[in-house]
Amino acid sequence: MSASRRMASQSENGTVVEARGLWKRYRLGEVVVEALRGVSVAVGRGEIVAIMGPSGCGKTTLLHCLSGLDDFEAGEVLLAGASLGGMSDDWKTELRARATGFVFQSYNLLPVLSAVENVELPLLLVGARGREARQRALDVLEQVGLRNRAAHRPSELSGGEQQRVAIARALVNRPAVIWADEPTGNLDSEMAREVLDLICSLNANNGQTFVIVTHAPHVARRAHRILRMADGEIVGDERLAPLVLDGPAFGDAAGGTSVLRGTSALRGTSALRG
Amino acid sequence: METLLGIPTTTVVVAVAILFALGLGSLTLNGLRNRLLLTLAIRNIPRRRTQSALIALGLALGTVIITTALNTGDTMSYTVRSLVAGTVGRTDEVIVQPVRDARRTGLDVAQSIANGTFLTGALTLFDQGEYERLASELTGDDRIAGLTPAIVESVTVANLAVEGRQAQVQLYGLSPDYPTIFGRFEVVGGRPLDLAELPTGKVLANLEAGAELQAEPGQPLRVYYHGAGIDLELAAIVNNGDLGGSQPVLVIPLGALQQAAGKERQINQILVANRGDRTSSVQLSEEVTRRIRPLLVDSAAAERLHALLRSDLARAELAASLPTLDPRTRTKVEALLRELDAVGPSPEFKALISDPELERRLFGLGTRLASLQGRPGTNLLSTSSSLRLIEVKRLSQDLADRWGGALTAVFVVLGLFSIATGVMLVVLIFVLLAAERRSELGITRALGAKSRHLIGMFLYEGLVYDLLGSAVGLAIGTAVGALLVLASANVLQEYGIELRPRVEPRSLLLAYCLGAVLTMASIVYGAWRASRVSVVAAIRNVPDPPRTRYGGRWLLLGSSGIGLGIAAAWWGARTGWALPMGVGVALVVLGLTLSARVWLSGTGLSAHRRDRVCYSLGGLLLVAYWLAPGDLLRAGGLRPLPRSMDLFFLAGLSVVLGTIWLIVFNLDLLSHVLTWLAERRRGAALVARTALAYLARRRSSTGLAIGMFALVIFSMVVASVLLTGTHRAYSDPEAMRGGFDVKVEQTVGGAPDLGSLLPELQTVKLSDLAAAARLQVAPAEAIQPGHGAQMWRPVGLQLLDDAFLNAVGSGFTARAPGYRDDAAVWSAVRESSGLAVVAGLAVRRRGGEPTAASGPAVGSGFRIDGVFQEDASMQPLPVWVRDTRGGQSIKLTVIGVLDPRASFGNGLFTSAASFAESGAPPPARSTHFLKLQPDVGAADTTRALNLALSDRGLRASEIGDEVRRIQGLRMLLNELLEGFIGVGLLAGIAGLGVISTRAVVERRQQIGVMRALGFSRRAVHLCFLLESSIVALLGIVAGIGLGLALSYRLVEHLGREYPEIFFSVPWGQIGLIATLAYCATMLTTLLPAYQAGRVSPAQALRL
Repeated sequence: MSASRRMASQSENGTVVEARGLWKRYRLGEVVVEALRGVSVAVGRGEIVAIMGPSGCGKTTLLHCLSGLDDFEAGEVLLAGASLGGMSDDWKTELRARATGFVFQSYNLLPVLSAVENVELPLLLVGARGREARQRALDVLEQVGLRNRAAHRPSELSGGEQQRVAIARALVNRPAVIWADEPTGNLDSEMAREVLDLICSLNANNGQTFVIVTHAPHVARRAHRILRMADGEIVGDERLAPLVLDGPAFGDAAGGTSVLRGTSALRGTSALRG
Repeated sequence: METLLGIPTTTVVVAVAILFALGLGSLTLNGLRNRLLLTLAIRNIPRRRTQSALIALGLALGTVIITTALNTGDTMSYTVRSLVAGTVGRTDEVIVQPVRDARRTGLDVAQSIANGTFLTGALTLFDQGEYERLASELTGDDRIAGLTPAIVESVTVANLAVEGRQAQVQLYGLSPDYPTIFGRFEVVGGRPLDLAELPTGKVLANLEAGAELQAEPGQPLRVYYHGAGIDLELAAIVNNGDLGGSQPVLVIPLGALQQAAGKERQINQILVANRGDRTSSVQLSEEVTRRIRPLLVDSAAAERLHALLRSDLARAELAASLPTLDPRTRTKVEALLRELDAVGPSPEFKALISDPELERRLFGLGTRLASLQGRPGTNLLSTSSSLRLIEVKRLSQDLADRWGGALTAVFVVLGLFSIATGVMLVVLIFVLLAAERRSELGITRALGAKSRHLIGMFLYEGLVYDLLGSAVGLAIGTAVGALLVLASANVLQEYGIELRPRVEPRSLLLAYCLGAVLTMASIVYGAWRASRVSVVAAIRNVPDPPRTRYGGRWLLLGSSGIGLGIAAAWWGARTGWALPMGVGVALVVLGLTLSARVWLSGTGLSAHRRDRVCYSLGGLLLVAYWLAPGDLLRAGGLRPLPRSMDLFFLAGLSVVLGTIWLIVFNLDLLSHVLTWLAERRRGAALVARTALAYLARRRSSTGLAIGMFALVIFSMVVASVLLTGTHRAYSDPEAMRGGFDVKVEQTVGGAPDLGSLLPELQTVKLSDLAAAARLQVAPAEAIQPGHGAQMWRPVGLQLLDDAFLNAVGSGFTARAPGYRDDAAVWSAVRESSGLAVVAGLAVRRRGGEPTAASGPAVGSGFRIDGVFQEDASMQPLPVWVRDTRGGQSIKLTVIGVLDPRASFGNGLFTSAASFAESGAPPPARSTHFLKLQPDVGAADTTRALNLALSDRGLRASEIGDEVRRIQGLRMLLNELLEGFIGVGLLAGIAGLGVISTRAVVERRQQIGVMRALGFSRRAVHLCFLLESSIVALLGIVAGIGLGLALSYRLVEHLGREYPEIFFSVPWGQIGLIATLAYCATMLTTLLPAYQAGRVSPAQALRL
């Protein structure tokens, strides 16, 4: 079964990602650290979920396990309806390419590519044609207010601009969920506010789902839900605002509302699948 | 080895040792003052033991190459010196009367010593009274330890007691009271033997002669000397000490030899031994020469010559010839010009005009002066005395050093490319080290360490690797050198040359210090690069911000480059030394490129475009200067530099640098093309775009990597082309023999013509010979109407009889229209009067210096214009020739250019019948070329001919023999060079492996991002493989292209001296080199690329 089909068979209950009894251990020399201890969590479509907790509590590990970046020892993760447990690296890679986007604290744009090249990368990875991908990337850059900086390389952009490019890159494939790890960690308060505004507007207007790992209470306060973690466990699940799904269906790769749907690019599987 | 690339080896050793000591001393002192940094640096070494060992090995590479080159050179130099010393023995100078051929140089004589035909056939007998006159003049001069009259001749000797046993030996006729400094005889067993005790009719043989003749005391020997067979009895087999060295020698009292040969009071040599021992006596050679030479020149002749040379024309010609002369001859001509300011001839002047090396240079001037005075065909500058002093030992040792030095120069120059590759490898290793420790370095800087502290840390660490690496390199290099010598010894033994391994302590010191200094310099640069970390970026582990400032520093650097370049070029032009001129040109281009970036900063061009424009133009200039044809440069007002071996490294480095600039600053264009090409396979397009984006943005590391590869492939291609050229030139015996098998030459004047003797020979059947052809050389002058200076120039006019023209099989490089093949040309020369062909040596190469309208005549002979060596066809070219001994001028039409590999000599070739029309007397001497029937052995026939002809003043030699020896040397060079350059290739491949490893280390986090975005493992893996692949391919293509282009110029340059060498591309060999290099590179990058694919995205993103 292809990843697309797996995704197509996801549950129709609006849950984008769900973890059940997730366990993750690290071995640091002789010491075994239990980073996640039976975590269960579900994130609904259109939610902004903030994960908070002290350093080393397992926030980033949870994000990596939910997004398919990392393996786990026990439990189950359903991402866009597909179960990650036992999924091969290649399938996970394709799932990430089609159903998720990432925003990192250090932006992590590829320094040798221009802003627009960075943004179109995920489209090309799923097989979009060059011209279509370029147009779509420029549209998304327009959306994040950086159309005029498209030809600049990351080193020529400010931190806030880089993070907006990173958000555009995460957004460009209309993913089911965007994972953001300390997205404002490297930004000053003004730029942080701009980025958070952008995230909230994308959520409000397009129903884009975000899972944000953060230390900062002011960031967490902009979310719909705050999951609090300690020692590898979720110790609190606080809903700050009701979830309103009134925007256009955005980012439901499984639901088939992608702007790219129907194009020849998405008919096949990824050209890069090993 | 006395010199290295023209600089005295001792000077090089001292300079390098001082540099090494200074570097080591300052680093040690600095380290002791900063003990904390020293401790930090030293503790890094055992942290990763395997990596440390690999780094030390990588750093050892340069030392390995240098040690191997020097040791091989030492062995070659020592072997040739031993060969020469074994031949010359204790004699430092000889006074001889050469056969009159003023173009024969002292160096020719020395060459004849080394190849075992010492002075044979080139000497005439002179009165013993000359010895007595000199002996009385030199009495009391303590610089001269011995002076003795002698007859020394290479003769054929038959042992009459053993049938068919004969050998070629040196016959020494010595005065019974000769000074014992020349060597004392001892009977085997130890008893000294006095030559005065030797009864009449008896002869002594040394061990070598005894062995070759299978002779025992009491046996009858027949010595063929000067047309007579002298029967003697072997008195004893003796150790001959220093006399005659280690060649087979027979000794007979001078008087007895003179009497037996009917040459009363005639000698052919006066042997001179200087004070000192066998090795140190040569140091007095210059003084002794200056003392004796004036005694050999008649005072009246000296005055006449002095007056002639004082003329404005002569002085102007001499001055004009200076830039074209080698340094030694230039010094002599300068001294001569100074002497001409004096009113009369001094002893120094006399010494100069009787110097055979200078005499050769004055030959052309002498004939020209004679022409102007209406006495064509004579040489006004010949001295009336015919005796010449030849510094045999000094010349021979110079020759030995030249051979050893030339070989070392080839190794060093080719090795320099490998060393340059090694230096880049060292820099890369250090940049990799810095990449691995980037966050540590950032934190160290954040804690307060300055940039120079980081440089210090790397330097201390690097110094330990350097000292260890150089020691390891010395050991490996010595072993590799020994292995190369061992392998070569087997090859050479087949050709009768015994290689004597030799390692000079001086060379070891030089190799260690030079290796260490070069590595140290690379470490300093690598450390400086590594220290330039942005503290915040390093701590956060994000890429460094770009450096795009083009400030005053660059302008200062650029201007300094231009200034220094102009100064170097001016100095080079003033001294006539091409190296500083080449360096000057390169520096000016570099300076202009750097400055132009600053100058263009106000034009609104983006930094990227500015760089592209400046570096691309700079690169093009560098490449064009070294590869453009000489004519084009001259047309642009530039003086083309010789593409000689000593400029080869500079030229190679310049063109590679220029090409790398062109490539790396235009890589994004290539990226567009490749991405467009890969568009149909979208995955491939993405991988290609990502891989090329990294290469295009990281210009310095991409340039370094492509440069390393290009340099190695370049040097391999050049070596391969040169070896193919020499192979083609020397390995085809048929092309050299021209259809003949045996050559018979006259060794004494008045020897009979072979043709008349052949029917009566007992040892050779006439039916064994397919043809017996005759070639005679007439001393002539030639002029070509409408070309160059309208003056008669000396030319060898080779007269061929019908048998020669019928049997000759040599081909032509160019033929006039109407002759369908080579045979048709020979046939026309035979049948039609007034036709000729010209030797390849007398034809210019395309792009070479044209005949000057009124150029210096010093030393220049006739060369034909209107056809080039590269041409395959030609128009008939008329020339006029005249015999310098008399007769009328005749017109000859040249219809072919002879294959330069043919070994018949230089000049013009025509039929004897055509020459007869001039009315000039036929030349006295002739050489016969014999063509044998297919089943007749050349070696046996040669021996049989020698047995029959030695007493008639004729000597036979096998033509293919020389070819065989040259083939052996070629094979040796081939093996040595291939092994040598292979070491460089290893460095290139290792370099690409290092770069790939470095890329994985540096880009770990980016790999994590790529994987997070959806790049599969295979795609990441492919990205890295494609990067290496593009670097290797670009390096290989650039290396091959530049190698072929520069070797074309190199062959063009070499062709002026060796016209038989032609440019020929060994595509098969080059294809093999390219394939091997590419595959090896892919193998070394497979692991890092695989590791890149295996990077866990979660872990990478946590960094």
